Amino acid sequence: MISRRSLLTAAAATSAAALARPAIGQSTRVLRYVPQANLANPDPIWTTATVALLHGYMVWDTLYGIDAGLIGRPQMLEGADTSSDGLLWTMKLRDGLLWHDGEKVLSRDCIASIQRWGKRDGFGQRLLGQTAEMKVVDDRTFTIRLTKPFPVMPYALGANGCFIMPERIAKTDAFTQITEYVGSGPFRFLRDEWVSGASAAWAKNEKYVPRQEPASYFAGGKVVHFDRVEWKIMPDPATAAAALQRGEVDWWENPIADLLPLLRKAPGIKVEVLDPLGALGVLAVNHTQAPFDNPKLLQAILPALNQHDYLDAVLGDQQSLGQVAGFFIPGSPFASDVDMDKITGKRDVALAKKLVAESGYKGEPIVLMSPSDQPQLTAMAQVTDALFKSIGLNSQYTSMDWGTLVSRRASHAPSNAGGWNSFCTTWGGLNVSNPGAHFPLRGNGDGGWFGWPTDPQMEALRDKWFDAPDLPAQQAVCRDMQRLAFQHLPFFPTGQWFTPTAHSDKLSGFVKAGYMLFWGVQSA
Amino acid sequence: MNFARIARLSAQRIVKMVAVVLAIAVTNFLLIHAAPGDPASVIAGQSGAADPQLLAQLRAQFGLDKPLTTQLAIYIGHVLQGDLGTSFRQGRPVLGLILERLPATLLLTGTAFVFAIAAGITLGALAAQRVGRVADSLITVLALGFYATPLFWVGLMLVLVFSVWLNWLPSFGMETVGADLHGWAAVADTAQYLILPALTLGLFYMAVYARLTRAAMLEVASQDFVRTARAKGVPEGRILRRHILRNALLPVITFAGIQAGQLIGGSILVETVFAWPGIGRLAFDALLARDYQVLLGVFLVTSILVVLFNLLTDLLYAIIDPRVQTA
Repeated sequence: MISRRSLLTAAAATSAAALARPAIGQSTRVLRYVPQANLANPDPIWTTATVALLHGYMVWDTLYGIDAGLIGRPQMLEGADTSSDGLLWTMKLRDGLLWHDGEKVLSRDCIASIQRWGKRDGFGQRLLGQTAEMKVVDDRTFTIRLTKPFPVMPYALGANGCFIMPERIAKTDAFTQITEYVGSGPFRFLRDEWVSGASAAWAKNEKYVPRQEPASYFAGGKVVHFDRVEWKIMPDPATAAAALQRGEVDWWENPIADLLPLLRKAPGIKVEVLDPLGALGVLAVNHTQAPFDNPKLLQAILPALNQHDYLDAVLGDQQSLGQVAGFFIPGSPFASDVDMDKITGKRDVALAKKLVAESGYKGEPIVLMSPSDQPQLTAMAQVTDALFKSIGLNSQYTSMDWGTLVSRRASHAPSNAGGWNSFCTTWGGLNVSNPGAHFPLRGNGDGGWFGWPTDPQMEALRDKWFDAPDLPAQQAVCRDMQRLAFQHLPFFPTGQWFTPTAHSDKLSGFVKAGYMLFWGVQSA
Repeated sequence: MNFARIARLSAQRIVKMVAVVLAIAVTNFLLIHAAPGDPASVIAGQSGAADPQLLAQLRAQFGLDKPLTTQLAIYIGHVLQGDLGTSFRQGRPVLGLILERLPATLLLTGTAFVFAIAAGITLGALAAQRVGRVADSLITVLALGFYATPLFWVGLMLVLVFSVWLNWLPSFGMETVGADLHGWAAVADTAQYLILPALTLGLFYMAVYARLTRAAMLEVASQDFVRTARAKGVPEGRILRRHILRNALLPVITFAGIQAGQLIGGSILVETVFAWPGIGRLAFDALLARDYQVLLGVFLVTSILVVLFNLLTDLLYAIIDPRVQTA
């Protein structure tokens, strides 16, 4: 029987050898890009969809931008001064910043944008929570007066999509979508050409003045080498592979793992990893419902959980793209080897079974949600199902579409009344690189991420991280957080993996970052 | 042709059509709301947190906090005024989203439909004329093959052969990216993008029509009036066209009327494989995101199209076969 997967592989294998004619639209300088998903909504504050953030970094600029070392550097800012007590930040905009409509970027625009972003983003909520006042000093200068120091300000404003919008747009309620897409970033969104589900286009912002420093992650000079960038939404991976080989598109964001070996062999196509942090696999458990409200049962799972099983299932023969991981993504300054032997040491199913028996587990059913339309997550769920069953847990593998899963995981109800016990997902590396952004590593109960663990100690450590004066102090806190996480298990990390991107070998100059960026890249 | 009879038939059908469309709208509304999850919980679920306050705010914003009957009454009221609502997900009017995508779907399905009918009837007639010979066997095997092959597989193979191997036709989309063509150049450009998806969608239905035409023609060919015509010395070509084919087309037309609606449903797969920007993909994406308004809008528009096709079929039937009554 021919499966769809083998068909895709066979189709691409034949085509890889048959023809390769990657090409760039040389005369018009158009970069043709296949994103991972449709740009359904272009408001990067209202939605956290990755494609909306890609679009956000094209259209809007940020006050700071983090560099490859994940350090916040001035981006729209000429610079910033901090008072000696750390309570007053004075920020000055670069000269010559203009909106796409030709108007000047003003201080009041920045304040309104921070306020809208701050209602939705974790770092932003923290910042607004300890902000006494934001005040315009002049057109290019504004101040943020704090109630207590916020040393992570440059990172907060430079890594988390704090896009600066004109005041009239930024005053839109944070839970209502904006309808105007005027920014000051290196590209203009061509709204008239946007057909959701099919295509979207941007033109180079000729008025944009890049910084002089070389581009690094979200920081440095955003130099654009194309007149236009066009996104083509292509849901079928085999078609996207064929289009890349024919030169109908120049860049495919996320080729599926099955096609990687073949794309690597195809002449004229280059496969490479552009996201230095990759993604963290997460096995989420519902701490508010039996049986995972029992900490002893969670501890019992740990000796049997083998991250290599997850890496095998997700990556197949592409094992070089993955590695074991702790609670912070490897590659982040906050990842550490604290207690890592608990997940990298010899796996012991017998011990796990013994611990399950001692935990008081009574055989309650465990609803394990698996999204059948997300192959990677389905593979992770299958490994989890086998893991649970191997140690005597009554796993109920429940298949559903992703839409149902994301809806159901918001339910606090018992699993037999529409709730759930467990599911697998992934988090982009940047989002799990530090405690401020790390949603799954929280202990704030009902206000937290799905699973809702309540852990005052973890929250106290997070507070300590925000207040830590420097990197060594922050790293020390993160080591404590990882130690605590291995005891309380807010979730189970299932490994780190990287998703390569495929593009014409005529393209170069890519800026490596957590998202695909469209400045720097140029054609030969 | 009796125009009064046709007009009376049309009027009766249109009245029934409005009632059917309204019933479909109500049924769709209830069915969609019976699916697990709602747009607010999906949006909250995707935003990384789902605190009750955010959920309540989104539900109030979308009007989902009202009783289902109230929501239904509001929806039907808006539909009667031609307002299909606003996409929860995209924040844009649903009618605009559908109208933006409908031409692409109609172009694809229309072309596939015409191709399927023309090629299917031709092949079916050829097979019936040469029944028992090599041509008949070849056509029958071909029809059976396309009938039994999944659409997405045909699509992928066509891309592989005609796009990648032979480099004759583009593999995806509806127009050359960045070409900015106008007039006939744009028509020619779209035409070459249309060939593979229309073939993919049309081949299955072509197989159905070929088999149907062949069977119907063989049945009609054995009837007395054909034998009489032949005995009277009517030329074979005329017998085939005027006596056999015309009578054999009635079941084909009936089937075509039903399948015109199915074509729109079938186009979802083809639109996915070829990244064709039609309403099939719009509906699929809306389903995953539980974007009720868009989904209801697409269902309503496609229902209207199906009902319209059925009306056209009835009228065509009445024209071809005068025995069809209005009762």
